[in-house]
Amino acid sequence: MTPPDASPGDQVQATNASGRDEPHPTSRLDDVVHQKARLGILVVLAEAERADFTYLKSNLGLTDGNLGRHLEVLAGSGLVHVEKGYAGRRPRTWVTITRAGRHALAEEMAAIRELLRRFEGG
Amino acid sequence: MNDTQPDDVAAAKAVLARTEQLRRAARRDTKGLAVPLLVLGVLTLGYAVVSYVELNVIASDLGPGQSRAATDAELQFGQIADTYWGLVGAAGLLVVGLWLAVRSRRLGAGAGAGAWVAGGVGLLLLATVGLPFSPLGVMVGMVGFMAPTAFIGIALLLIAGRRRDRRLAVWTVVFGVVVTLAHLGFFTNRLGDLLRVTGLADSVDVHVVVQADLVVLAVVGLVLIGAAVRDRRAGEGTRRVDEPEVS
Repeated sequence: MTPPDASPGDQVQATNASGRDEPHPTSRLDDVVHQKARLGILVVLAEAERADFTYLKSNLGLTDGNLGRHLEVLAGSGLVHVEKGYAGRRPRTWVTITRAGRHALAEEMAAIRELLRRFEGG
Repeated sequence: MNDTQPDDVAAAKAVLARTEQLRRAARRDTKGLAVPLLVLGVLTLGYAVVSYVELNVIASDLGPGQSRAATDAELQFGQIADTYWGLVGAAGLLVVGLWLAVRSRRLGAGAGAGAWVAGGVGLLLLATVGLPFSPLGVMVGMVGFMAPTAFIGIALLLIAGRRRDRRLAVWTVVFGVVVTLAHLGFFTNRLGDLLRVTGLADSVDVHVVVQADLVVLAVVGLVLIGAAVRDRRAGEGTRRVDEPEVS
């Protein structure tokens, strides 16, 4: 949904009915969070508080490698915390959402709702 | 000027729909209210039975001028009744915590038992050890006497806050307020008022009227159990609708 010419973080300006410039809602979308799989991971974790690798993989329909890469990106941005452990002799990876992750998710959802509000409000 | 494009809007709607679907599935898996409400409902029915025994067996009317000393068993029962929500309530929270811990481990999602175990242990300590050497001790005793569900209610509200579970908070408030009012004789008094206003006070046996609070307690217990069954069925319905997405 980011305009093609806009790089992440660009403040896309729009003029509203009163003639005042305000940033386009898409400029508030964070590329790290906005990506479909990563947004899904954050949504699931925000509700479940913590989930293991297998649960996320099956609920989001991702492959091991795909999920692993997305988790690396999210963990690198401090949005989730990954903890590797064992369940008996089998490795088990638990993922929890951080406070920053919750905040980023809330911002993302607010930006999407603002986009819809702007369109439906005319 | 509206610079939002239809493609943006369609994509935004699709994102919202998908996130809602994921949220519902995760909530169903990790925040089922069936077991917490079932346990609370059974405990409330148990409290109705305890209150019935206290009102109709231990404190029954012996007749004009009659009296007798309480037996040891009756005194022990009275002590259990006084600490019912502290002891049995704490056990209930621990049972829910244990169930959630097993479920979270098996399913691979959910916060586990931490909040429930902390609430149960806190309640148990308050009921057994209390705060005997603290000025707060008297206040705790008074609050427990006036509103026996106050502490389990606070524990459940803290758990609901920790789990970000609005539905649990709402049920806790309903449970806490109604059980406390029943404990204080509110429903018996209101039924008495109603009978007086309608002129039926003399035609209804007082012994029947004073059972109103017990009936309300039993109804609350059954409503909680009914809500638990409904939540379980709703969860099964969602499970059938929300099929995992394949990409």
